[in-house]
Amino acid sequence: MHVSLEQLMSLRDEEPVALEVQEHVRGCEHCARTLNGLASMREGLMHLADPLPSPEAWSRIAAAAEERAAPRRRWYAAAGMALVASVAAALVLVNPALRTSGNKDTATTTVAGMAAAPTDIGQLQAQSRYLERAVLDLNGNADRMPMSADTASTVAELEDRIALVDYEINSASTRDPRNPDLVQLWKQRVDLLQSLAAVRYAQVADRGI
Amino acid sequence: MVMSSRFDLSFSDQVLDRAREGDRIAQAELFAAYGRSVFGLARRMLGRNELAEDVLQDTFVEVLKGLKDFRGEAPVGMWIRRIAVNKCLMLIRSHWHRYRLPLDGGEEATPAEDWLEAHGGATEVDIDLEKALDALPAEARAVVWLHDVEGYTHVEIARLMQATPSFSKSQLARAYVRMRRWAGGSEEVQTCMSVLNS
Repeated sequence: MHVSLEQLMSLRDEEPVALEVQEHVRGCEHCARTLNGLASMREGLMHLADPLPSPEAWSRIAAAAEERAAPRRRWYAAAGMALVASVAAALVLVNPALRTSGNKDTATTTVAGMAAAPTDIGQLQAQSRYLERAVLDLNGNADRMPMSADTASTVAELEDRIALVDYEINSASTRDPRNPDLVQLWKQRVDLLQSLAAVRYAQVADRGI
Repeated sequence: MVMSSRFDLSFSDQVLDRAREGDRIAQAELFAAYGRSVFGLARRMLGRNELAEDVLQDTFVEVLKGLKDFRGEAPVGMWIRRIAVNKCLMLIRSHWHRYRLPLDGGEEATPAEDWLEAHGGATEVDIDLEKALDALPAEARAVVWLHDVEGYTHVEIARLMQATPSFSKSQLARAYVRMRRWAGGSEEVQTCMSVLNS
């Protein structure tokens, strides 16, 4: 009988382990040494000093908490068509190929395709990937600029909501990859990414980039 | 195995009541008591300072918002830890943040002086373990920290990560082998079984 690393770790952690495993380790110098090594590594991890957050952390948190407590602007209710237009412009902006006159048709097709709200999950995933790339490109410019508290809060909220939808997608697809809720979740993800792209684009456009 | 977490320290009920009523000084005291632990937990689980700063902020914003509903059934530190752990795991699971997380190990190189500064003069041994931990894939790093430092059981980790206890156990064992290599151990982590099979 030989023991596995998982069994040695269980022994180290004082979890229930078969009697023969315990007896084996008592009589096997190699396993006993490994067990000691595992214990010292855990000791080392437990004694790692906590790193320090930045000195401005608390003031940022206090400001963000105040911002959250204040009545929120219902920016998204008023965005409507302007949002779609901004997204279209953002997509053209981040993809230089779409800006050339020779590719005008392609740009129109792409943006029209985005607005068509596909119901097929594959299309939604492709759309989501496309928007994600667009947002990442925009982030490169936008992150170098000063950001108002409103914009920062909107960006953070959208990113949080995307993370939450991702979590739900993960859970739903783990339970059942053909779960019908997945289409709705991917739609939500695309909508949120479109909003995020619009906000990021507005930020960049304001600065004339 | 009984382990004490960095979050498991007592906090004055009076100050907590003041914080609940919106007293900013009391809230700052709460941050002073647990902020570093939240940042440390997030930094270890996520492997990046900027993500840990995000989690720190999101956690405390949620804590301050939720204080009025906190009934004190569990110690306040453990409640804060639960919020921070959920936020870290949400980031690790998120497709969106996978772009920013070193899921398969590796991170941009850090200049030596930045490294020393960032780690506040830790010893050589600490630095090796830090590096070893950072080099792990995100999920494995989370399992190591939650299990070995925060004292979560494999069953609890499995529930949090929507996996099985065996997944947690094998992640931990494999992570130890990788860390051992990174930490520059003179011997491989081997059981007599692996010696016989080699």
